[in-house]
Amino acid sequence: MKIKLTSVSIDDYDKALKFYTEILGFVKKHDIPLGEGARWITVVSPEEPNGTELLLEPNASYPAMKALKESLIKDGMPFTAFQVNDVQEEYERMKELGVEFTMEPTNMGTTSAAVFNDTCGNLIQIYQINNV
Amino acid sequence: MLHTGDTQVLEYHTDCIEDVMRYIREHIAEPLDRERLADIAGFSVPHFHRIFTAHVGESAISYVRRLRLERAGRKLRMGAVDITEVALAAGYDSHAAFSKAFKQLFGLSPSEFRQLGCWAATELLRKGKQS
Repeated sequence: MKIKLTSVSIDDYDKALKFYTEILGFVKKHDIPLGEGARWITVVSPEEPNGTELLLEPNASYPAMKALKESLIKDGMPFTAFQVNDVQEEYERMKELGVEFTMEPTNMGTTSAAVFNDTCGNLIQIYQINNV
Repeated sequence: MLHTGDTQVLEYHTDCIEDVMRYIREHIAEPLDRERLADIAGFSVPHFHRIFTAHVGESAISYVRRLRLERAGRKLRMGAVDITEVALAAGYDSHAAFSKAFKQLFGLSPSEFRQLGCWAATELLRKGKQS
């Protein structure tokens, strides 16, 4: 058994794809039309083009998902997390690009982490593993 | 009784204050002063102070302080190890000043708060000061 796909809930394909590629720096892997406007869009890390794919899943308006996302945002809880080599460096790069951070880089002991708004209704954590 | 003109003024004020609140959220990690906030609202400082307090129920200074303490609380909930680092990021120049303000808002010291489980910490952050 392998984990080859995970997903993030979005509301608008193009807006999400723009953010996840142009701001975060992921690369589009698949963009498959599924009919009636639906698309199967995944992105991958340029460092791992054959690694786990992130599906941009347009389920943000599904009532249960909408409620979950609103609660997570309200409570400041990240929807998911991505690993980076240097949180401070990524934070500064993304701030320059206008990304809103709800938590600046913070030392959590074994990790350092920051949290940003992905403009698709999610808070996303970036973290680095600290040398301890 | 509100007249049409009053309603328009009220809506205008609401829009201005919402602009300021958005600016505060986006720049909460930076120094914020009343002059800058009043400028964003397009009001004089005294007028801004009155309008903001009337709309939000607390002064802009109190709102900024609360938001920073809530952010600090989220960091502690997520496992921030260095309370002094959290204090400095929240705009306090010492652990002691931060602890005092934190306890005033949440009813627990940052160290005590950090001992709470995720759910209890989240509930406290939602409710504000512990009843």
